[in-house]
Amino acid sequence: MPFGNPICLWSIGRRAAAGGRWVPDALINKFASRDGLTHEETRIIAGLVDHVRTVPAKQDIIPQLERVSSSTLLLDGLAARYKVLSDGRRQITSFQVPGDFVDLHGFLLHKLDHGVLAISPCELAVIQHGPLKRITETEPHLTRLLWLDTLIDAAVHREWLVAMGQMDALGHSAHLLCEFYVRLKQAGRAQDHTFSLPITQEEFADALGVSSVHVNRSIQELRGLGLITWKGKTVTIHDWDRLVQVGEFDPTYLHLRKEPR
Amino acid sequence: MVAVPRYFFHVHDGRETLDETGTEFADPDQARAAAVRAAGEALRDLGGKFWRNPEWRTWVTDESGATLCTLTFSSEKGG
Repeated sequence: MPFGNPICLWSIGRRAAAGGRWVPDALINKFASRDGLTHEETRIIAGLVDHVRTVPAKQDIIPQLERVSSSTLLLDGLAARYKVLSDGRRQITSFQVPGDFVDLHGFLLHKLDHGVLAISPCELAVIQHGPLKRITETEPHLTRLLWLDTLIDAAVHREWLVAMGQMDALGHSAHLLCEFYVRLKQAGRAQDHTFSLPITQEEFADALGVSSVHVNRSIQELRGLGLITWKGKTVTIHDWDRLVQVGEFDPTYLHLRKEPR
Repeated sequence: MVAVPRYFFHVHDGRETLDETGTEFADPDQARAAAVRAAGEALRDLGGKFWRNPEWRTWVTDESGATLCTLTFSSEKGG
């Protein structure tokens, strides 16, 4: 792990000094990719992390309906927000990649209306709501960047809703794979159209809201068309343009442009 | 640990698409239930394209190749 680099795209974070606080580079990099950060703002984010925790794969990071007094930032791994119906059927409502908060909305909502699951082993930074509140009182620009993060969450939810309501499973699968690639690439976890996707067919299906049988068909079809291979935990996109076309993927909703906020 | 059985969901919609990877289910009843849901999803995705081959069929086999069930969706235009 590249400890010591001030801002390294592949670093999830680092300890500031012996016994010092954990510096969440993943978040600093993400904010810096959306707007410039001043040294002072970088210093404030660097001092936010209370502690780092790890959660094994397939375990809850935060259980459903938990009351929270801190927000959790994903440093490494893949996480998902979900809800489960009374008969056990589960809907995954979003994925989080490194640099994403799993529950920044918990800062004001206090009680989560969903659970958060570690899809793969996760390393997470816990940020208490007290320091976040101080930011909202003294740092208008950082406050806007935190706000922007929840706005982009909402934009992703809208995009998923449209895909779930109107797209066929082939297009929806293509769309989600495009989204994974773009988001993981931004987080420094994908390049050359290849990325690690440590999720099961069932989890992918629960995100699309269709049966794993039907999703399996769609993935086979994307494979048969020569657009992707998905071997074990590795996805390779062979024809990005056609995958984008099949998935009607337009990354506008991810709001990746760097501009004054 | 007991291996979870795998079931294969094939489709005929004018051409035959055989499922070679399969999906795991605890027992045949769950696989038969999944066949109904997946058939509904496949027909939803087909929409108007269904009429190109208005005979649609799916069938489920287990690892031994035995058929668990067959679902047929047939149709006719006009009264």
